[in-house]
Amino acid sequence: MSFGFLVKEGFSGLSRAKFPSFVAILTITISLTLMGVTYLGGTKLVHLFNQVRSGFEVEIFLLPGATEYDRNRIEEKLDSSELVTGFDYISKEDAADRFEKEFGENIYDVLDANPLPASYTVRMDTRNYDHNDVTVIARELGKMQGVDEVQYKQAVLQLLDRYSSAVLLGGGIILVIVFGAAVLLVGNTIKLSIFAKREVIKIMRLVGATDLFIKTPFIIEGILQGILGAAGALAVLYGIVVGTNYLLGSFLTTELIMDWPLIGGIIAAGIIFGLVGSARSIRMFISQIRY
Amino acid sequence: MIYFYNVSKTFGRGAGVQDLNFNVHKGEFVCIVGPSGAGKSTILKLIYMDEKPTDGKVVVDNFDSSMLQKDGVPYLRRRVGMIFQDFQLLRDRNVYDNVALALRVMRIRRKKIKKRVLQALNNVGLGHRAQYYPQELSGGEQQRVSIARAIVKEPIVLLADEPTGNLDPQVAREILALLRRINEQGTAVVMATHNYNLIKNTPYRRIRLEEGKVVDS
Repeated sequence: MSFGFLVKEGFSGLSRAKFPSFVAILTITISLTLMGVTYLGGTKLVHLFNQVRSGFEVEIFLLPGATEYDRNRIEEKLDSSELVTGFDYISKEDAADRFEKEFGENIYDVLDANPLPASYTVRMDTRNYDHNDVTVIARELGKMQGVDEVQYKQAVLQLLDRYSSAVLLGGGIILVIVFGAAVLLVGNTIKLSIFAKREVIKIMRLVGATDLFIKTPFIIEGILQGILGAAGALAVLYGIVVGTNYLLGSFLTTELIMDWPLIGGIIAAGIIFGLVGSARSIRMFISQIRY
Repeated sequence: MIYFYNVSKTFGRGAGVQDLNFNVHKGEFVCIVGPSGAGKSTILKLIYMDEKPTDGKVVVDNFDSSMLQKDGVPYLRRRVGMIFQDFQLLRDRNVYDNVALALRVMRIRRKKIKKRVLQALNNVGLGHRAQYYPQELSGGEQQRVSIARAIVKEPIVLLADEPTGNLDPQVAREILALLRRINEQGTAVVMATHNYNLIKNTPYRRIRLEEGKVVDS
């Protein structure tokens, strides 16, 4: 079989149209780097969001007259909620101890009495819920007998909700733009390559080459551009990851890493860019060359 | 082997061929003569099915123009060799690779390709020029390379479209002699030429064309 010949023709296309190939490879590198950065930043943000969401705290302040029975009802309610991962009861005395720890003074010395209410600190895992779910349960708790007030940082949840979708949407938009630009530029290079090789294509048709035989070198050329672009992007991303960890390591809760989904995704995206770009040009231009 | 049944081919601008009926038999040498624009090239294009008849049908070997799909054309082309006035060689590869291309597209093994290419080059007297590039050769030698490329796939017919148009008379006669030798080896030849002087002393059948019609055959 002459697969070696076809691969050689693919490589020769790359070296024949050096400048356009270089531009296409560079575009793929830039596009994939952008995608990689989006992925790294996105996963980091999502990780951060999840940290906040999985350890979200709600405080339930009890009325002075709350009874044992009221507390049992409240605890039953908390136990039955899917959102709640745990809770602590803080009695008036516990609250006074905390006050002393935080402010360094005994509340009885300051006020002669302990006005601090008993309360519950409730931990919620809100990763799979939005702020409305939290509002609903907070409202229900607020209406229960013995409960004075339910407090939580609703604004934080609302922000997280809003920005999670913004991050996803932004990432998606970047992806689409990058994909479009890369496909257009690869397509353009392959078009130039087809134009440069129109004589070969004509003569191949003349001597009885099938369409597949004629197209294969250009597909290989496109894929090669994709792989080279991906290699460039991986090198740049590696630099970004190492640089970020070195400069910002102390601020980050976890270091940035080049994980396999990232590496595999970049290589796969490079190949897809090359493949789609070349296929588009091949479909549009090769059939115009005839003998 | 080649059959034209009531074949007409019209183009937008009006030129073409009308109502052609003729056959070319196995191993025959046929000359298509006529002035420029008479339709000689069109006949050859109909044979290698670069054009399809507007009316009628062309049958070459087992390929019938009325049935043949686009993806079948390459397989017809493998049975038909073609040479042209302007040689149609690739300047970016040497003589060997130009000739070998005809076999590579057929996905023949490299070892076999080498043997057949060198045989074909020897057959046209260019065994010593395999590593040369087309632009390093004379016009006559370039036409020999294109003949080698046409015959290396052992076609049933060699189509020659004004093969001597760019060559001086002495070289033209040499090319004609080479075509005759190839014909004697069993390959049919269909040659289109407007140069009647070149073929007037040959015994070959002539199909004379004028304005797309056969006036004498």
